[in-house]
Amino acid sequence: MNAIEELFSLPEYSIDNSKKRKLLLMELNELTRFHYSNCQPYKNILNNLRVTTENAFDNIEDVPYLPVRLFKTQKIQSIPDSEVLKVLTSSGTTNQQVSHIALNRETSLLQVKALASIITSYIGNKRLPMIIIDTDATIKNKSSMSARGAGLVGLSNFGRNHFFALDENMDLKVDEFINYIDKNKNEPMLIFGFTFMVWQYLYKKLKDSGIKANLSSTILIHSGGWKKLLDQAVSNDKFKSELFEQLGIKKIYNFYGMVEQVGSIFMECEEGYLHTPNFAEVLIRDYITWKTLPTGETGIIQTLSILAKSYPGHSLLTEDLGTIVGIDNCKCGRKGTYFTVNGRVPKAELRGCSDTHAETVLNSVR
Amino acid sequence: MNITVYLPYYNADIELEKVLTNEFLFQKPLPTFNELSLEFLSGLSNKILSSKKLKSFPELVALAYWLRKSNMVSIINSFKKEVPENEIIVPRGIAFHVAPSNVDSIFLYSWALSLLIGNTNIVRVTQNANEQIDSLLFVIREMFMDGKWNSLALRNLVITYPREETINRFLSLHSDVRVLWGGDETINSFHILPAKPTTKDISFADKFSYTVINASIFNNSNEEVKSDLAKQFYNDAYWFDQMACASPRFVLFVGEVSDCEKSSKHFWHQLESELVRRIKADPINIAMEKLVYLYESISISEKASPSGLPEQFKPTVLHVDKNEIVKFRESCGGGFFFECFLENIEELIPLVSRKDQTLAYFGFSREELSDFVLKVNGTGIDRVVPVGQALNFSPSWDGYSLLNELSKRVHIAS
Repeated sequence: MNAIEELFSLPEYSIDNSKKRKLLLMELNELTRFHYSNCQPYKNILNNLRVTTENAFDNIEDVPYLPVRLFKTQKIQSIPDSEVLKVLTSSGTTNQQVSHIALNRETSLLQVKALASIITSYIGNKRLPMIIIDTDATIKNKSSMSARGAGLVGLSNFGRNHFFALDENMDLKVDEFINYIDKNKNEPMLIFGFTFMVWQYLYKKLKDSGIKANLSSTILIHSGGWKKLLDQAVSNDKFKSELFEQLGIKKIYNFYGMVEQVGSIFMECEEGYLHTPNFAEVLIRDYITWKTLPTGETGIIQTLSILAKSYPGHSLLTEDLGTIVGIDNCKCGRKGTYFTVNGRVPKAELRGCSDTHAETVLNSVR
Repeated sequence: MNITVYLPYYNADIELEKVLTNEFLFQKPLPTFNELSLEFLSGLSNKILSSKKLKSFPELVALAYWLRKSNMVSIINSFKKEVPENEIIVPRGIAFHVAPSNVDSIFLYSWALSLLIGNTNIVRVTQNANEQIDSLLFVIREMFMDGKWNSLALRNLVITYPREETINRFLSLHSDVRVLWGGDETINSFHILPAKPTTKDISFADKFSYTVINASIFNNSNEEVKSDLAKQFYNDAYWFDQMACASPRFVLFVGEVSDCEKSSKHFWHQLESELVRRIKADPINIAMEKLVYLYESISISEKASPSGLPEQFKPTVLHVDKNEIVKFRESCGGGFFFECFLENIEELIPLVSRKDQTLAYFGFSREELSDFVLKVNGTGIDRVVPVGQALNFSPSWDGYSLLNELSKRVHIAS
């Protein structure tokens, strides 16, 4: 059994971190060599930084990373266009460039498998009636998919009788929603949506309409960034307590993930920490030395994942800030590194003859 | 449609129609080179230099020196010399200035020249004015409270409003000259708006600038000259976070390779000392920008060689081959430089493009530079200045003689 098979064969969140790192490193070394030989921009970067792939890296910290923004400015893939199965694009506002992630069949399958391994460890193997807090228009185009669409499609595999709760104007279909929860009241349901949309279009609408429910066995999974909610002074705790108050949902899990590493998501546990799954790891880097920081110190999040076979996305430096809380010893019982996300690196506001009108607003969802 | 007015009074939310009244739009411009405007600008210069706060911004100090009466008079006089006796200079009418979002003070230069010409001015500043601009506008507002400047207060508006085509359109239809500070996108968005048939546009597009150093002359200079050059270069490069059009992005060492290597090493070392001396550390966002930009740059070159990852108190330098110079036409700012060695300055000629603005030099003679400019023959390069003067505003900017552009000439035949 090779490393990747072993990582997948073991139960999710069950591997001691030192063992996991060894297995990951074997695979990451392999991926680094493969992408070096098959992706010219990646090869240029490593050559120009005088990083050699001749010898395997001894530590996971030594595996070179790419700043995640590179996927927005250039076409970076390690497969010929003829092998591209689908292209994922990131969320971006009109003026922002979007990421371009080329997937082949292998990567795509690994992503599905990884996501299944993570999600089923939270919700069980049975498909649940599923409410999606979005409009079905988001997933109409299957060959080129936005991050939001990819997220919905990925998660929708874990549900059945899908109900898209919003119309095209992002208004909650209130009557249908009530009917749906009424019809399925005897079993657990799965609700999925992007954090901001769950808050804005589901919770607020229900609160304003005075609609309450007791969905105590239902699981809510949400993702997509906290910026807009923090602007409204909504913390994760408040999010949870308000949704419990309104809908009686106790199991609410946020996850941290990105279109550049689909499948490799970091789910929140009952203690409120984000957990690294079997096939991924996070490191925190210092912006002054670019070296890794010890547990407890806040820096820039680097994510490593062994799923990226079609593009060099196995080691990425994000523009998010985070802190590793601990390793293998979370009270929730899950093994591996667990961490928190502490917002984004503030956008550089360099002075200069820049565009008068390039005053864009970061939008976390659309 | 509501706008924010900064000058002559402050009002955060007022209807456009109440500000741009017929009285405002159809009032007579002031006479060209009127004494009042000259006095006002020199008064502003004094205010800046006597304000502890404003004085703390070096670019505002530079502005204040530029606004001194003696400098204004010498600019006016040298312009007057170009004007034949049978031509009279008069204002164009209303000048609409669209200021750049982040080069805080640069629009004040074109505004000041327009004021001297006698034009009535409408200035659109960025929505997120920073501290420098806020304090500066505050000082001007205070001055305008003195009745002495009344005829200027009536003719000069500084406003801001969100990206709003209808307002841009309205202002364009009423302006006789539009002064458009870039980026390219903004300029193009104005070019498609109708204006008066006689409206003239002065467009300051996105530009790119270089520093060129004669390696052997640098190597033969004494330590004092070298460290002074670093100080001067610091001003060119770091004042506007290296984001002004005239800020150097490329540093070219010219001479034998061994001379270039030696001077490069020494030059960057001197700049490092300057950064340490000024405690010029990078906040996380700038460090991140530089890192991302470094990776982007080295991904498109097979043989670029970085000085290392971005570090505190160090410029980030990426050495590139001269054949690859044309690949690198953007910059992230914040102290990120491309470096290249040339055998002679003529090697730069075929690489120059329309976007190139300032060539700041060290160790070249007037003849060499004139020869270079003649050979480039207008395909690029608008200014050639000694290192340290890249950001010094001159009435000749981006190929425009601004006093000329902002005024009209009436020919009297006899």
